[in-house]
Amino acid sequence: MILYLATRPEHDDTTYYLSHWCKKTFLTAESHGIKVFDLHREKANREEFEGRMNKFSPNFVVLNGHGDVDKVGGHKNEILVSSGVNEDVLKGKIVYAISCKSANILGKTSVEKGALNYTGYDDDFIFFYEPKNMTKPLTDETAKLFLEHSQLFIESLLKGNSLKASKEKAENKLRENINKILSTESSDSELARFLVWDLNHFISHGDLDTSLGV
Amino acid sequence: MTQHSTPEDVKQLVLIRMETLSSHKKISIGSYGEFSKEEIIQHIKDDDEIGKKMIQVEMEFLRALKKGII
Amino acid sequence: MGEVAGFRERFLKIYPNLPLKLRSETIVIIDKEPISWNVAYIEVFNNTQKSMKILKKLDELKII
Repeated sequence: MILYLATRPEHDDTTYYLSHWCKKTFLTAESHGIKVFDLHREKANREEFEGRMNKFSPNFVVLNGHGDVDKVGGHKNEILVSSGVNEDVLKGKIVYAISCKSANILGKTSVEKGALNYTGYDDDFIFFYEPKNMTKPLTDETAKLFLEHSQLFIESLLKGNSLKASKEKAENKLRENINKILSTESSDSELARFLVWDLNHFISHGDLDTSLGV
Repeated sequence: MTQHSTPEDVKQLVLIRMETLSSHKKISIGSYGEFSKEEIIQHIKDDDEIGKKMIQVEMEFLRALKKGII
Repeated sequence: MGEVAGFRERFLKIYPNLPLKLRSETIVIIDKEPISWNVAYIEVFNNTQKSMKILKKLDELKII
């Protein structure tokens, strides 16, 4: 059975949005017979994370949260995985980190220590949202422009597609959104520069032919 | 780490461009947090880390246009 | 003069490929006036004195 672990801290607007958009992927996972380990809010702590990783060895790991070039944080920014400390916990896994900059160094060293693939962002991940939608983040059409590629990437992998195919789908979705807001009928053209930024910094280390084998 | 100050003409250009952002939206900038348009503009004026990041995003975009972004 | 002619060519190659929505965005400030792609195009196409300032600045900013 394929196992999918996701960390979903929720201690500020950013993590709240990421958490809700990630949760959308659980339905796809379950419909494909994939078991989900949901480390939500306080459960997105290092002890819980390492415990589940060591005990259950999930195939697919999605890390939502703040980060830096060499680390990813969980709830209230407690460091979950850090380069040179415990990135070997990602050995043999496919990893997707929606966590700023972590693909810069942590992504590389994780693959060097045996992660099959680490996809993420090698600089700050930027997105816009409408505060009036805070209680219903999934209805936020502005945030959707920035976050749906991420959901698509995850779901594509959950359906058994390769890393390469899934990454292309995600990138094409970003391009589609860029094109949409640059059309004459859009009122959001000023957001294009930020979508282009995210697209340019969405990178992958490791094996692109790998998949979850669903 | 010492960072060079942004040339004034670049800063002014980015400030004018950022004025077109909606005041009804907020921006999440990864490691730095969430900001309103007014806060972003202040950071650019202050030429601090966040301001410099916004300038970088803006100038990379403008320079990418000559290569065609579509 | 030759240098500016080169800038003019580069500008005129870039402009048609710009999405319509972007053409009204400010790309340079000349004599404290914001100039958009569209305004720059009018000046550049008509080879005005202003266009030389615009093109030099765009080159300096690496926008063309």
